[in-house]
Amino acid sequence: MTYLDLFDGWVNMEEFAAGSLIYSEKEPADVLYVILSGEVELTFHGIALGKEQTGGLIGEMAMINSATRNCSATALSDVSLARLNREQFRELLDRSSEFSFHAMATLAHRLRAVDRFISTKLE
Amino acid sequence: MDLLEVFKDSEDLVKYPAGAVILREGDPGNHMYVVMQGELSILIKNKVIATVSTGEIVGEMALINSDIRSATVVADTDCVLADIDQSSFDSLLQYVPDFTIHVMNTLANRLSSAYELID
Repeated sequence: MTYLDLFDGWVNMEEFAAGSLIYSEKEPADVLYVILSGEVELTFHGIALGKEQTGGLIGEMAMINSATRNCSATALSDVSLARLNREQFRELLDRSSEFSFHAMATLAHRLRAVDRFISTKLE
Repeated sequence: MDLLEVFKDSEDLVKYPAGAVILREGDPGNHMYVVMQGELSILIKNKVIATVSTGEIVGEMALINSDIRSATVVADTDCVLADIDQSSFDSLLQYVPDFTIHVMNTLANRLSSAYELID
């Protein structure tokens, strides 16, 4: 995944130990994270929505139209995250079509997971 | 991004009468559509989870993840749609950065409504 090269020497880094909470539902959200190493689980009302690994994006809704977190993110292993604010995110979308595609695919993937969740609830 | 302007001369326009099922949940899919005219509903298990109007897109998810349709789409009125196949979609993503952002915003809005629905 070459877009990870965009984060070589990235200054705004955050580290989380296995088991720790990265953010929780309803918290104000103004940053997005790219997972540089490790694995993160996303949960909605305590129900697992999916996992993201190295190269994955989490918190992406904050960048677009949501002021609070829709899910909680927990570190499943020790994780290293690159933190992006809205401006940095937009800049990377402009700079890298690969990153843009990945961000778009992340949204589609998440929507699919939420749709599945809705589908189960309607059964 | 004004998709109506971009696709106004499309040679791949398809028409559906009110009530037609355009996409069916669980089917494989390799086309998406720009709504040139009309109103559509997105349904999961027969429940409307979103509506789509003129100028908006529908069916994009199956092209992004190369996966089955996650929802059913029904025409609420007579519709005219511009058909975008996988290779046109890939070209748009590659050469029209605004298109990627547009798709991203659409997905984010749908995701936001979906979260509200299950909250």
